Amino acid sequence: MIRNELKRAVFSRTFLLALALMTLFAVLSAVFYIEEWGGYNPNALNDAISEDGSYRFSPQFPLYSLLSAWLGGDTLSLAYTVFFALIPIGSALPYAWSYHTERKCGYLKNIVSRTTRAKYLTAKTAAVFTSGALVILIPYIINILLISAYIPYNMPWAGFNLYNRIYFGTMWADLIFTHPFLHMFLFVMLNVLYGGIYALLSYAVSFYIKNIVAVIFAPFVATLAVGYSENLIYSRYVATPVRFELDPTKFLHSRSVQYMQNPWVVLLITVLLLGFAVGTVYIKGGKHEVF
Amino acid sequence: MKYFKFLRFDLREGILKKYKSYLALACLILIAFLDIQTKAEAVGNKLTLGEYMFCIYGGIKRYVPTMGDPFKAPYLWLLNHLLILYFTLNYTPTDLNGFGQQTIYRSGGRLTWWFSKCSWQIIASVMYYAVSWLCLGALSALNGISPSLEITPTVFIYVPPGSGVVPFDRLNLASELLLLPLLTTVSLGMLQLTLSIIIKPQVAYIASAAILIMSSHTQSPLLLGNYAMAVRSDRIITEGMNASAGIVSMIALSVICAALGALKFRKYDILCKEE
Repeated sequence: MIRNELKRAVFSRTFLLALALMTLFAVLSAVFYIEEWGGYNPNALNDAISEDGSYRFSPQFPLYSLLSAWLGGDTLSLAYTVFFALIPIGSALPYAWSYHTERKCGYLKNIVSRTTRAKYLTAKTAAVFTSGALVILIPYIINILLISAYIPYNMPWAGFNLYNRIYFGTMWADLIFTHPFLHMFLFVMLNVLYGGIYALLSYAVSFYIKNIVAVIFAPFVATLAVGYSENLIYSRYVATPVRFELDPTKFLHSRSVQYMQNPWVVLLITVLLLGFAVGTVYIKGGKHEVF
Repeated sequence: MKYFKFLRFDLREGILKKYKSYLALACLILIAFLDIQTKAEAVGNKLTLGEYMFCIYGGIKRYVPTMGDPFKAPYLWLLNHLLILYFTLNYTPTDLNGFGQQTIYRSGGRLTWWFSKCSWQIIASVMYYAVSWLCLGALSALNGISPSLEITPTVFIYVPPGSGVVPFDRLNLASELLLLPLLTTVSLGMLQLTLSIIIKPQVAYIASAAILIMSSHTQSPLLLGNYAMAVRSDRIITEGMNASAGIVSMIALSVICAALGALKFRKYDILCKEE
């Protein structure tokens, strides 16, 4: 059952469409940085950073490295802005709508009369999560491979935090100065997890809304509303100068694009969203009228 | 005559029965109004209705990519446009898969049906803005706010214009605050309507969302959303967007979309539609 669902989720036109959409912006972000920072003339670059045959250190160099140019470290390009904004749509597009369609066309009746609902829901949940996660993971891999082929890696310097946009105390901040690739890996995994969560949220919404378009775009519109609400909450009710990011599409970025990422806030939001999605699927799905 | 029958049906089904979506937009405007009012009162400013509208429909200043200064999306501006486009996205495809199919068979007027849907798209967008404006007007009247559409440089505290500001004391921005945001939503709605017929509603909405997000990030005459941001108008900043060019390009886009949709819909297979 799971294998069948996974096959239907991944080998589909909608999966390819979503993958193409997200990969387009991941590649455009890479092209932007390769055009801007890529070493076209390695000898000139070598001359610029070396003195008497040995490399001299300039605090500027780490700013223009792989760690600031990969999709999760990009804070400049148009492509990264669109990529992060479209994560809720890109993840939901491949397969989150399938339960709604299967119920509507009667396919679900054939399934639940041949197997248990729990098995069907588990297989569907796994397939929806995997399709959403892959649509985010593959563009990241392509982006990082492209960038690393042209832009060298350089250890970031903590003194330039204003430009790095990694504030002291923000989530996993210490890791970027000690184990930058672990920092990169953790953020990619967080993005992949949210790819799955957004897909599951759309899937969960299909138990409440009987409209396929509304199902796919509801998490996107809700995320926009959260983005607006957090500014509203902070400007009206929270006087503290330390403000934590509540909008997932912003805390998924490895740099603090607006507010700081707090690990406990991220964990709480993740648990709440995952709990809502999985809870809805199993509770509503178990009782949902199929026949 | 057939056209008016179709249109009457669309107005009933696509506008009157969707009153909840109008209430949702009115709620957004109410929340935005209260937020702006609190901010203005905190510093002792008395804003005009035009200045409230500038805070809602003004958008965001031109973004210059700078290390250490990431782009911050104008959520209120995006929500205003994307909510209306979300609410109007599914009516036509749903109608075509249901009752609309029957009416097309029986009337034999495919193009009449299509132009009725185009008219509905325009009227629905106008109605959403009318509700927003009514809501703002009523809130202004209740709070004793001047109904003038003029703005003063004070409003830049709330919506900073960036560099290259054209000096002014008072400026009437009626076309930038009323007409251009409406025309942007109408033209994107027409694009969305046509794409939802030619390709799929999902692709149509992604296109609308991408155009608006890209418009907020990059100032370019090719990205229509720029015309809907009063703060990027050439009456506010020196290298701003020209309102006349915006009006012409948005009307042109709407007409092209209606014509393309009509061409496609003449031989469109209305039977084999699935989600």
